[in-house]
Amino acid sequence: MRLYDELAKSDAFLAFTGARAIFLPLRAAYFEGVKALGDFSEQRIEVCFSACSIAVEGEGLSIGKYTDGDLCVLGKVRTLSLLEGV
Amino acid sequence: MTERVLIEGMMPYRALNRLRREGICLKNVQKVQKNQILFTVDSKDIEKIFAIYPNVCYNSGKYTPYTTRILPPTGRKKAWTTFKKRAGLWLGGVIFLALTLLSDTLVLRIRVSGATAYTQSVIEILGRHGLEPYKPYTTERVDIISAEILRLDGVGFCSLKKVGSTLVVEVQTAPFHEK
Repeated sequence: MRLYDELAKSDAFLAFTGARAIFLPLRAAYFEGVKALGDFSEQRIEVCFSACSIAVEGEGLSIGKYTDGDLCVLGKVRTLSLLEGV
Repeated sequence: MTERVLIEGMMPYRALNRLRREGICLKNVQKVQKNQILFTVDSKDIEKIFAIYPNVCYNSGKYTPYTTRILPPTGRKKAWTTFKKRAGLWLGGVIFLALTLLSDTLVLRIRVSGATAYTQSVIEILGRHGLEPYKPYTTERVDIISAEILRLDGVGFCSLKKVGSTLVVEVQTAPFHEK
């Protein structure tokens, strides 16, 4: 994905086993390689990957797009935290 | 075209995962209530969604952990749907307006007032200058027509006026005219 290649140069790029993520503080978070979506609310969204789970926390969170392993979280994203896994 | 879908059931995010696994692209996902999620999908995916999670109101014999509902459109889409539903009304309105505008430029009736004895002569003069019922009205030749009517024997005053779609010609005889 060219978008990821472009953004990979920035500090907000994260890569972990079987997945990649781009974190744009207070704006959005993009994930690739999403296995499933956990419970979600406007403050917290749980994202499951093949090897780990991540919690996206912030305010006014919503899912812009969820398709075929790609997830776009919109809203004031403040933190990404590892819930379990590597 | 997109549709807004409301999915209802315990832990509705599980339904989202199932729909995603089936290759359905979910957009603008929002949690409305604890057991309700609202999202937007392409219209082509609607059948697939109802095949996975039917609306039990219509299939009461079939068990499903989640029920789906298509919400009525809002905003621009609602306006377009309303417009399409009442296409006949809009078309009728447009035709009515066009006819009104057209009829305003046409002469539908000619009325001669005052000295009605000159009616036939006046209508003949108007006809020579192209002013007849169901023909367009122009003010270009009004002066020439008035002059020609005034040339009629005994006519002392003449005026042409269009009132709505009626052309009113007022003809008055000269006060000291001898017949």
